[in-house]
Amino acid sequence: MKRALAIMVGAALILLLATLTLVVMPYLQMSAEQVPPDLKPYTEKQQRGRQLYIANGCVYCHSQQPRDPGFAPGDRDRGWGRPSVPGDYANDQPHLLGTMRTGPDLFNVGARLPSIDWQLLHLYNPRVVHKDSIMPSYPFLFRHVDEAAEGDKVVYLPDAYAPESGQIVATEDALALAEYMLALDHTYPAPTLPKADKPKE
Amino acid sequence: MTPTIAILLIITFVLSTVGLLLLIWSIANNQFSHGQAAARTIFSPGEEGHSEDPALADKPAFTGDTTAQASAIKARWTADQSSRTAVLTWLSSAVFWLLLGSFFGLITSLKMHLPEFLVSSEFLTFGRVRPVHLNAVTYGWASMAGIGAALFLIPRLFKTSLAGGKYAVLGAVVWNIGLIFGLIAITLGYSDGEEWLEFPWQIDILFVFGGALCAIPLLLTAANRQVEHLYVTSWYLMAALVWFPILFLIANLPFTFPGASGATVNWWFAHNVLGLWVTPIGIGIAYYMIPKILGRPIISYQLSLIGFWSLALFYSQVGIHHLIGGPIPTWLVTLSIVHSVMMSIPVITVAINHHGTMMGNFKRLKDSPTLRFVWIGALMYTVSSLQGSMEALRSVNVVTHFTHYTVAHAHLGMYAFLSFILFGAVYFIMPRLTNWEWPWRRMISLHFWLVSIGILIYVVSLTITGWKQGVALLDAAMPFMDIVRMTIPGLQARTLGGILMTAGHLVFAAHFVAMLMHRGASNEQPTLFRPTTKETAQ
Amino acid sequence: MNEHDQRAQFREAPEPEEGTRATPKFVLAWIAILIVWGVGYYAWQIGKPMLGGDSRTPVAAEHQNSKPVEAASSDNAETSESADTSGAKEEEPSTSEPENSNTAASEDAGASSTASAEMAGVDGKALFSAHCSSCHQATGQGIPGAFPPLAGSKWLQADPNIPIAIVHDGLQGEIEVAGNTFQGMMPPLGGQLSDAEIAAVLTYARSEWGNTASEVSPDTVAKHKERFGDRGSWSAEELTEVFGEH
Repeated sequence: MKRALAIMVGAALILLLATLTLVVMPYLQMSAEQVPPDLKPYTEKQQRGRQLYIANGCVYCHSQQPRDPGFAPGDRDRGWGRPSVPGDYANDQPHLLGTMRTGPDLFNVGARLPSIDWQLLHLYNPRVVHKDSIMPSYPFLFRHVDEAAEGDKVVYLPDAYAPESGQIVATEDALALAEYMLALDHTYPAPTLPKADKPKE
Repeated sequence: MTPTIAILLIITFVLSTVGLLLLIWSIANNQFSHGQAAARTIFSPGEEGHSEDPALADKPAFTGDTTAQASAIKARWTADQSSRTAVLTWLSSAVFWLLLGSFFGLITSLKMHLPEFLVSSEFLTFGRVRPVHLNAVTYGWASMAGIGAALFLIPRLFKTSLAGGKYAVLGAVVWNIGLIFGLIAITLGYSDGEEWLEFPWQIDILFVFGGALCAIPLLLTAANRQVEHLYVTSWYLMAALVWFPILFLIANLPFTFPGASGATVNWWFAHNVLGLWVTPIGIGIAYYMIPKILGRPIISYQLSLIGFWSLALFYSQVGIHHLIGGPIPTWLVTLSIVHSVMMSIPVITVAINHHGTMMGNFKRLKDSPTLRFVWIGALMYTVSSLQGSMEALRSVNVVTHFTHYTVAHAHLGMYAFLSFILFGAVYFIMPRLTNWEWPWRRMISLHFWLVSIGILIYVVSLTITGWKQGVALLDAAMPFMDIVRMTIPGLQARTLGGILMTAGHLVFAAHFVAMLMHRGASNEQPTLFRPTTKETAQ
Repeated sequence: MNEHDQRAQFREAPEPEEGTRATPKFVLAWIAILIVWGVGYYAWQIGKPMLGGDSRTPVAAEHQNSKPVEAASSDNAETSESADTSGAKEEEPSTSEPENSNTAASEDAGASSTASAEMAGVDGKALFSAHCSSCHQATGQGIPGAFPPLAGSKWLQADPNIPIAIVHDGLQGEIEVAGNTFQGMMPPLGGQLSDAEIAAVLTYARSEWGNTASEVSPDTVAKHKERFGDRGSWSAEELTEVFGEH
């Protein structure tokens, strides 16, 4: 049993070392790193939208972490914004950094696509906007009504996608998710991005 | 902060490499010869070097004449009987989750090129079926089959009956309940939001209990063991059973790691599920099955030592290669990249052991299902790990990150490596527990070809597509929608691969049930790919 | 013992064991090579930034808060288009035309006040692609029912003050364009686009897809801002009221 115990204890200690380097130290460093002063907390509606983003698994196709143009030039050139810093995510619990770009990076989608009409239309059926899009439709986030009531947010559709009668109206969930999209705007400066001492030649 | 981080970096690197060098030095100085001598006593006199070959006509493998052989057989049988109920419970559950996970995988794959498929229901939206697939195959199929194999192998390795097997059965029940609740939760939209950690943390508690209930019998069995030498498989299994609870507990703690540091914990966990949970189980099984089928020893004890400890030292710190280029400190990313490349050390040593032992015996692949599945799995371990070491380099990762290439790599590892080994293990274990032989040779063959061709199509199509996707993402000259269009054929090919794999699983599951129910003709011979009338080691 | 029941265990090879082959030299050599490589890779990383994220390229400090069009220095355009944004006026290049020449050119032009000099190098088409095409589409056709077309739009081709007002301050409510009615909300872009940029993108749209309206100059945009200051979005009626029938 002694040798078996030695293996198990040795294995545990090695993992604890890895935990120190991969969990504890980064946590200490990143929580001490300055949060950009212009980062705004999420409103309640935006936070609710964020929960819907999580519930519907948007993270499995979309990232929220543009890379440095010196490393991966495409990210900035596509208009996805400056590279993100740890402080940008101070209000994000859980993080939604994402690991797939089946769809575009969304870190600055609120700056890039600030129209709530666009967000709702695209959410209802992405193919209305991009006919070859492979993003799913989210009809269950909308209601089909005979006539929109006062205060309802109607989603206007081309004939090919509109219902035969009645109108499509956004639910509170759809509006919250769209608000979260608009909140994704990190174009403010990030003081912790490294600075050169003098301009590049 | 700068000096501290730099020093820590140097310390961890030095620790890992010094640890490794110490191990090598102590091997060189025969510190482990004691272990080797003990190893040699396992072979009963006269049994060494027995290579079992169906072509050797009249020589039966073992007649049970000598008392040493008789006691060896009895020890095996006793071990198998003691673990029977527990193992069958875990394996049967695993096969069910394999089916469910495969179907959800297929639905997910179809949705990627048929986006309007099953789109009206929120319960079947892509973002929910995809994590159902991942969690069902990881915590359902892979983990449960792995635990089942461990429960079978540990009594064998320690030549001791499994103590407290009923706890393990209860553990399976609790684990299954956790899976049901967890997968329903994801379907209803309740997710903890991080990849590989989607189950709500309240439900995770069930997995902690279920797993702990298995740990008790295994630790008790280890305490009761009758052998002095620990065979390499047992190191891997014991370590895996220590590592997984630590990982699972820390990563699932709610409200503890917000923001970007949550991402480092996320990927410390997720990659260690691969490296410190399923990989050791897979390698450990291969270390048992290959020499067992061949009747030859693994070629090098020294290499198995180096392979195990270097895996522990290096694999544990590779996780941050999932965040290259991200909002994570550069020193941490570099640390993971270096450790990812260092992983080639354990991979090569394990490869020499596994494949070196196979040298001169490749013709056995024609008849033994266990060997064929397990060895191909071991080969795919070598391939996918070396690929992974390269993928971690920044210059490669800048292309492959965020693309389907990563998905292909993940399936090369989890499926072509791990699942193939688990298939092989099931083909070995079941006859010993059900006192029956696999009813139909053709079903094993069909299973093999369906899943092999399926995963081949899957990995090749997505690897190529993903690479092209990554190259295109780096150059904004190609509009994003053009990139999407370009990936469609690869995604369709992946669905084809997935259909074949799922069909293979249906065949496997049907055969598994038939085995449980003692269907088919009663047989004294093992069911091999080639019909044979001679008794063989299988 | 019951041979039949223990048939499977019976036919097995003995329990596995490990052999005595020594570690091949090349394995030790490979370990040594990797240790050297590892040390080298770490060493190469010394001096890389501690903060900000992985592989972040240091950028010149003075470009952090300057607005692209007003920067007087003639420094390298790439650094000004770099990681640090300059707040709300960050230029986001299009996906189809990745050149970032607009900022460089406008900086080279210095503080010249002539309209053409300011607009020189400001790429209207790229701006359209980045800011307008998602709704109005690259074809200018819009999305029927949802977003109005710009091709053939009288609102766009009218007195420049009308489209300037729409783009700068936003538009809300019902509007009829080319015989179809649209309801919706166009968000204001005045906070994101400079005078020269609004002028450039409108100039582009007013002469694209068969449109035949005059250029728009940054001065006109500036005058709009002087006249109306910070205001909310317009309605179709208000536009007609203030600027007259088009």
